[in-house]
Amino acid sequence: MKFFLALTFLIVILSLFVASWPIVLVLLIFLAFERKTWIFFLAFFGGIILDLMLFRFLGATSLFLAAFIFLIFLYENKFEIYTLPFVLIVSFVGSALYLVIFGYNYIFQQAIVSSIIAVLLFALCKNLQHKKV
Amino acid sequence: MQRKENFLPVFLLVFIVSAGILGLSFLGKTRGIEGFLQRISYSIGGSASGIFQNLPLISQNETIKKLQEENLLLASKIIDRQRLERENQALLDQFQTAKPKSYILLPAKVLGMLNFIPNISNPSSLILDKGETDGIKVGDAVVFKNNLVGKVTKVTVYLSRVDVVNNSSSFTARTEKGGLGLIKGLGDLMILDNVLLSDALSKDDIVMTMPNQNIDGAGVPSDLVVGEIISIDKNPSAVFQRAEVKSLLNFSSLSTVFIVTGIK
Repeated sequence: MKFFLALTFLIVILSLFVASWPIVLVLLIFLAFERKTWIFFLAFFGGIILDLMLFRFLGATSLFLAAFIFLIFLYENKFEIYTLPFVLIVSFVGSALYLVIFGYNYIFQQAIVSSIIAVLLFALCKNLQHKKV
Repeated sequence: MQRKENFLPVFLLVFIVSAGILGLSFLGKTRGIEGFLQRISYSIGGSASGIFQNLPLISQNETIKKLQEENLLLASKIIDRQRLERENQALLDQFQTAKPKSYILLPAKVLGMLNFIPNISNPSSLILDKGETDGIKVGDAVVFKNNLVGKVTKVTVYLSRVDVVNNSSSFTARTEKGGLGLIKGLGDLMILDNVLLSDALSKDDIVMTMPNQNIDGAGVPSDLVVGEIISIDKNPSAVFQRAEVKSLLNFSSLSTVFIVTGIK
């Protein structure tokens, strides 16, 4: 978990100045697997930092991220989420929605990149879990 | 079996707080704290940007960089020569006088680039380390070595955002041969539109800004290089012709730019 938190911090900083990819969203999807309520606070603070840096109205990104995590938790009540198709679809749809709502260019390309990152991270997580067992 | 936490109360709390902050932000009540926090955040992030620009896959080849700088210098010399010719003409004509203007330039460091995907897209906006406290206003032009970088579109207490010239901009421009048109930004390229068919356009022609400043000196100064023509679309049956224009600047490699804050 510390690994994910450190990675989140690093990627928030990098994503602001390297690219505007919704990588924070991808990270939150993975943290949602833990189904802990502190993820909402992480979404809140991550969103505030992003809004500050990207000159948006404060609170806009936090609202979006919190609502998105809420929907993932609702979905988890009924269905299994620790699967590759779920990660792929949710990261693509979530990234595309984020990019459309906040007025980015190259929406399709960025959403694809986010999904690829999500899939690679998922594969890494599964690999690490297998090694632990 | 892991006990599932009840997430609804926490979600509602976060949602309501976020909505409240959003409402205050809309009303402009968070400007002070925003400016303060931005300054701290960008002082950390500026280092990340600098490190990233020097990564081997991202930073430019030195030869290409040198050629681009030479290109910028040559474009600048073309404009200087044209300005001298106009001034000479004005001086020869005894009824006109030419008063060369000099501008007040404020150097600003680029702290961040928005919508930048390496090798795919140029940044659409730059974040600079100068804001209201430095006298920056919305509409101020940003330049680099006689080239137009863009215009300031948002200013906070300590920072400002500049939309680069490629990014949905619209302003009048002229070519080195005197053709007048309207520049429209389309992302990675610009279009010089509404050029009369009678005006001569050629590939590699330099496109420059027209005077567009108000009495306070805000706005885009004239004779700044916008870019060069890379292709022409001329249809004899149409009213106007158009050309694709590419900026001579590599926006992703800019680390320091200059904000035009007034006229001396």
